[in-house]
Amino acid sequence: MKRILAPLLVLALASPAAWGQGAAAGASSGTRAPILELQPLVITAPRLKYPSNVMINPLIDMNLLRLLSEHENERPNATAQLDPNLAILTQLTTLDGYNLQTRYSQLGFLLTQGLAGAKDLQVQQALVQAAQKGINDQIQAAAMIALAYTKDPQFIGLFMSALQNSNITIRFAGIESLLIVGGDQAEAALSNDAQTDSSLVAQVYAAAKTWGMGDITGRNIVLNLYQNPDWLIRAIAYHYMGRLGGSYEYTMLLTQLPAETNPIAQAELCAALLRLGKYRNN
Amino acid sequence: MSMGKIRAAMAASAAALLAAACVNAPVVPTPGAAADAAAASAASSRIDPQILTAMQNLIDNDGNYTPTITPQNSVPGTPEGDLLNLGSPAGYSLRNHYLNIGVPLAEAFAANTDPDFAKQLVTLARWSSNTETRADALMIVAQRHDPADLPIFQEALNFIDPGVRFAAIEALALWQNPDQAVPLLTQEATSDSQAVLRVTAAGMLARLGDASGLPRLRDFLSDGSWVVRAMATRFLGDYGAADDYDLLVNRISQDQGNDFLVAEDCVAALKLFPKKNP
Repeated sequence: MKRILAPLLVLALASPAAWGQGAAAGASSGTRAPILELQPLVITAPRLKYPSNVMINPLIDMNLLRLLSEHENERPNATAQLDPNLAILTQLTTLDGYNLQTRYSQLGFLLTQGLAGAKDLQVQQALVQAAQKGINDQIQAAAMIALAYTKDPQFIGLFMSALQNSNITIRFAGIESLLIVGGDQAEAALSNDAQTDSSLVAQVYAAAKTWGMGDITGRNIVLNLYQNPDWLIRAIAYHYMGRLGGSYEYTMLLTQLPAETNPIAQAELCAALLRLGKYRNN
Repeated sequence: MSMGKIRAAMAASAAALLAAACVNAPVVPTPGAAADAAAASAASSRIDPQILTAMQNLIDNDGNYTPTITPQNSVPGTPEGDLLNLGSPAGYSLRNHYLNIGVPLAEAFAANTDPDFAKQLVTLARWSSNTETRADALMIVAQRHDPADLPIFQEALNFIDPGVRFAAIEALALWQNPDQAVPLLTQEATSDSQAVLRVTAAGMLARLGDASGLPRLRDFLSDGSWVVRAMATRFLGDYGAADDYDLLVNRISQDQGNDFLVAEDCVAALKLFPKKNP
């Protein structure tokens, strides 16, 4: 799986590492400049940079685990919400601005980053506990993703069982966890979820990711959803068709252009077509 | 209907859709197939006029755009309701991508290599009345790394909307002209009316390696706003020195009243740990 693990803080628009990420990007064409890629909101897992025998300051783990088990909900507490600078964050409209809003309104994001890839067995046990019986679904999701970054196959069963949960927060975290862990078992589970998940958002996302892994079924699901009545599903489908598609997808999307009326989906459709432009007339 | 029946129905539906797709779509083994790519390399690079027209319509109308998805109008179980309930990093990323038009629009701007659009981009970066459009255009203009674009960023830094100034600060860090960017960022870090923008400018100074960046960030750790302290902590975690590790670990105890600050202290300390113990 191609993930950009550049620093989260790094600004939204492409650093050199973020150029030409698309499977169909123009690097091979030689006729166009590389296409800029917005950086996704991915976590960096500081612990992954450590040698396996390193001792983390116990104060850090103790506090992160305490937050995992005690924080009542995702939001800042009543006192913290009085800070007027929170309102300023809502006025920032770049991707990094939106990411800042997420960072300081959803504690699960910071907890995921802090605990991701933890090798300490006690920490892992606490994460398993939180993933199964966490204080709320966001905390359960955070714990699952943190465990996924260990890349330890022993947790795949936990992630697969999450796909059966009725709660979309937990199911989607299961999808994301399986994508992080990777491997044949995870890919098979993702392919199945792309066909059966009750949420179209989860379906189109899982399908696109499995398409990216070379799964023709994933491609077919995305192609069946790009004309969905719901604009959000169309927009997500356009996004991945633009990154993973070829001349067929270009033709389909160009035919779709006059019919698209939602502004966000239109923008996504234009971006996808521009990405696939080198396939024009093929 | 039980969840099992729903899943079975969905599976049957998906199977039917798949069958239809297999009829309609040519079988392509994997993205970017070699033959396709080879043919593509010889293709025209011109952009279809339909796409340019659609982009122009987006630009002309985005001042009228209002977010479609809000907690008030999104029904649980619908795609929009599901989107609002995602709570993992990729889920947050999807939310940030689709809750507003800014990110998709920026991607469309970035992908548009039409020469006429490049000229229009400057106009958008200077004069667009829509914050998202102007912010997006500023970020794309910065990617040209052209020193002659300095006045565009200067204008944006003087604009009243903090969203535009924030984008200009980010753009300066991407512009790759540090000799011109550092004085502007220093001015912002000192005198912007919003503390969030001052600390961001200090962070960008640290990112560019300017010696004033880290001391400024450490000063922001004493700010009255927890948001500003958290942002300074985050920047120190990314760009700080080995000694900042102890500084941030010591703050964990001080910040116990705010869970976000404690978490940010922990994350930043974890990032700095390799510098402390190389």
